[in-house]
Amino acid sequence: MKTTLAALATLTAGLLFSAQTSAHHSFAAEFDADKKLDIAGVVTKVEWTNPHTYFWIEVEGKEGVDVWGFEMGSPNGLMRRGWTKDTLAIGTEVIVRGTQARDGSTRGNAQAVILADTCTRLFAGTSQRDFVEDESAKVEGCTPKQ
Amino acid sequence: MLSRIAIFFACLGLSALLWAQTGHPAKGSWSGNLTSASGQVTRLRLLIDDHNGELSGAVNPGRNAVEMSKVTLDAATWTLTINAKMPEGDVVLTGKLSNLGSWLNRKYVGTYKQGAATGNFDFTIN
Repeated sequence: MKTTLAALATLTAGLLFSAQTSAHHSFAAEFDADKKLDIAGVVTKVEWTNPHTYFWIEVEGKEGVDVWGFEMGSPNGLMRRGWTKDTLAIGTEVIVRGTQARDGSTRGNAQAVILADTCTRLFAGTSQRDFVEDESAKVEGCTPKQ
Repeated sequence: MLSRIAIFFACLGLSALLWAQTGHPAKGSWSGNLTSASGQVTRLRLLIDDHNGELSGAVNPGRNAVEMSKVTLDAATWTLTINAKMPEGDVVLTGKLSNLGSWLNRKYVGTYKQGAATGNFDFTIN
């Protein structure tokens, strides 16, 4: 009886936490701090999940549209920085500054997200340990579109 | 006693899967292309919402969004029809939803009419 209960509890805990543990990793394992990104696009999807929040943008390239996916901090960490669930609405034009995945795919770790309409810079809670946020008032390389 | 405990743990385990349900199959953010009969390709994004079965949405959500004037779904054939007053002229998209159970590869494929122009479209859920 006790053995069966313990087995059931272990199995359930494993099922519940397996998704989160697979998504939790060190920055250096997945992203290359030397592959800087500064990329503009339109938000198509946002997932407020733990341990990381993700969003995707469509970027117009010479040969069509590329879809880039970006990792940010946890939902709780972003909300403590002033984010709300409406901050990145679908269709929002953004400039993303961060670093690219080591495998060269269209994935990255976002350090800052700049809203193109207003040039408002939002810090993305990167997990890069040595990253220093640029807290200057002026956002370089952005002209408000509104 | 043991069976009750087993059911409790089974419910806990399945609850994570239940959270993944989104509701209406048309609801969500879609991206795709309109391809005219002459071969011209236009990129579009659709954002569709559901309010107790009443569908609404926007074409190209964002600064230049155009509200959909009418969105109807024939659930018997999963035919979704979208009307929108685009700056280039009123457009009507008529197509079928497929792969309804897919989280990442749900499709909306069909034909469109905009004034005298016609063509095909192919959208995928984002």
